[in-house]
Amino acid sequence: MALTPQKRQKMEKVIYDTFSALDKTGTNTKHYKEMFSQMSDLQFDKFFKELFSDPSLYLILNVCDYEIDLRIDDIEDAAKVLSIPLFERIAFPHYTKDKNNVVVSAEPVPVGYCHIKRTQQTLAKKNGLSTTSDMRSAMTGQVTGSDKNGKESDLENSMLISLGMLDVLKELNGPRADDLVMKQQMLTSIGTKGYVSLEELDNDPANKTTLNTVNTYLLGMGLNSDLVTKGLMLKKTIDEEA
Amino acid sequence: MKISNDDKKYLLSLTPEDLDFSTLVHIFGSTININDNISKASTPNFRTTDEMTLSPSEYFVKEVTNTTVGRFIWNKYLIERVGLQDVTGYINFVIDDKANGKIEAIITKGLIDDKVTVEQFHKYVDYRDTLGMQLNSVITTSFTPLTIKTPPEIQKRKAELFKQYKKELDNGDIIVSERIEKELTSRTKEIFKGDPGMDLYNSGARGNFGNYKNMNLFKGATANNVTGKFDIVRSSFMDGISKQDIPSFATAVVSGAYPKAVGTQESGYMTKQLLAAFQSEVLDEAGTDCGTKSTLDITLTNRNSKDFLYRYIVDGGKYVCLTPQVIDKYVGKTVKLRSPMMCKGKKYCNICAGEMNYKLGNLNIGLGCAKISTTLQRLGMKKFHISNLASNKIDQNDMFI
Repeated sequence: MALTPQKRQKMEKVIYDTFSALDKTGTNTKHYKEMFSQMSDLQFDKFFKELFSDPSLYLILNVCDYEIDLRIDDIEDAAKVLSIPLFERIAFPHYTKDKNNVVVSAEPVPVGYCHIKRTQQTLAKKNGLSTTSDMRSAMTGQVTGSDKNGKESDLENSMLISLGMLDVLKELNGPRADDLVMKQQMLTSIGTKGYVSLEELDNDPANKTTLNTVNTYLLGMGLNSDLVTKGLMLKKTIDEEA
Repeated sequence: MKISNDDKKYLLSLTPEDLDFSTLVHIFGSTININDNISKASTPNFRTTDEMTLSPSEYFVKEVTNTTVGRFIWNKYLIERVGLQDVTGYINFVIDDKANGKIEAIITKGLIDDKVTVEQFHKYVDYRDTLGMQLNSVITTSFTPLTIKTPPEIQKRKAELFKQYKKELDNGDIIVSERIEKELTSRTKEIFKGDPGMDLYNSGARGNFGNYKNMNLFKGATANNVTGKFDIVRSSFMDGISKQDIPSFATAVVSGAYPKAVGTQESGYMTKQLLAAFQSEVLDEAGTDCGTKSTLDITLTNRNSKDFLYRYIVDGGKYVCLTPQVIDKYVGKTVKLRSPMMCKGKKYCNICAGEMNYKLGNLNIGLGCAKISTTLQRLGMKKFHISNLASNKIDQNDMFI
């Protein structure tokens, strides 16, 4: 539809009334009046056709802190000019997933655009997930590097002890930690039967990498340790001499 | 509004298992067909505030009871489902955060007294969370046109009070600031009374009216570490921060964000230190007795007696466990208390430690010390969101025991 003088007048009125509601100093209204007064009907038509063709374009409200402020009352006034409700009852189709019974909010709620930017922290720092437990420290047998997030710390262990979850501790600190013999037995059992029980796994202190490392350090320092064996010899030495 | 007999019959016919989310939406929700305009949304079949009367022959009430549909469904969904009728009875009061704490204290006591099983407690927590987390969006709202703004009469009163107490506020008088804060807050609450937007604050579930105060009334006293005094910030976020208040707001941002960022590290490290220090504090097997003859002389009062529940005292040369059934007999008396402070065992023996932790199945009592650091952490985190001022009068006579 071609732009008529009446239509242009009507459009300009909506724009000026809206900006006058948003900016009580009249600075914005003055700015747009000056801008449009210099446009011919053809230029005006072209300007708005371009503006309406791109959803990301809009008429900008110029705000200057402590000079041209924007308050909620101004937004309400402008919404009245444009007949836009700021509060509406909204539907939540995802609640029931039932197309015949879509939940509607009990009361009208504030509606508007909410710009949510995915932050770097959400993207990179809190989104870690390991699908394997292959990266392990040779010294402790614990998962490390990219698989580090599969590790539980002393705090988790303390809390599990506090809750009396001894079997969970045995699992997390055995086949799912540094006991690679138990781990292999666990995977084999799951692969063949589809399940595994802690009782069927060989729970031998000699297979606990961390325990043996600490035991070796303690004996190396001349400190008596019964973490793996009694006496002052390493399990490996006892086995070799047997 | 009182519900009809047919409606009551329908509600009574429901079993807890019937109350899945779809049924709850059918009872309390407003719904539409996905192709319909929102204006065609149905009126809820029931409001949580609708009234009904129950008699003992109909439900587990002790006498004819006037209640609401919301409370009836809550009791059916949780208390009846979990089987806690004998422990809590029919709950017939407004269930907000405080009431929830009260109810859970009763259930916890039931757990300790072996009237509630651990499985029942787990079930209660699971279904409580399912009900609370799902249904709130169906039956209530957050902000309303009224609560999102500052009432004009409050704006006017605020300006009057600021003018009247300008000198005191300029001098950082926190008592005057607190008085103004209280007056404006209570007047605003009075205006908002009955508005659905207050559900968010009144329930205690989320949001604190301190948030509203900062957002719409005025921020109030903010500690200034440079001057060692308080700045009274008279702007709110809705007003916009005045130029003179910008430095104080910046200080407040730091005092709020610091505990959340650095405080988390500190309390995390404190947890590790406490656990390292207390991890060896463990209880011996049930039934153990180190045989110590030493006891503490403790006077039991109505106020402190609950702190000594299930502890052992020596009475006439015999051990007496202070169970809920016998403890009242000793209130007002000085008793000889067996205490871990005097325990001679390698681990704390059962008699010195009492029965409470054995009933809870927790022998590693030292690991509970993480509660200290997590409480401090929680307080620090809370500071990020609200900064209310509280003052108390101290009677110097109270300082001497």
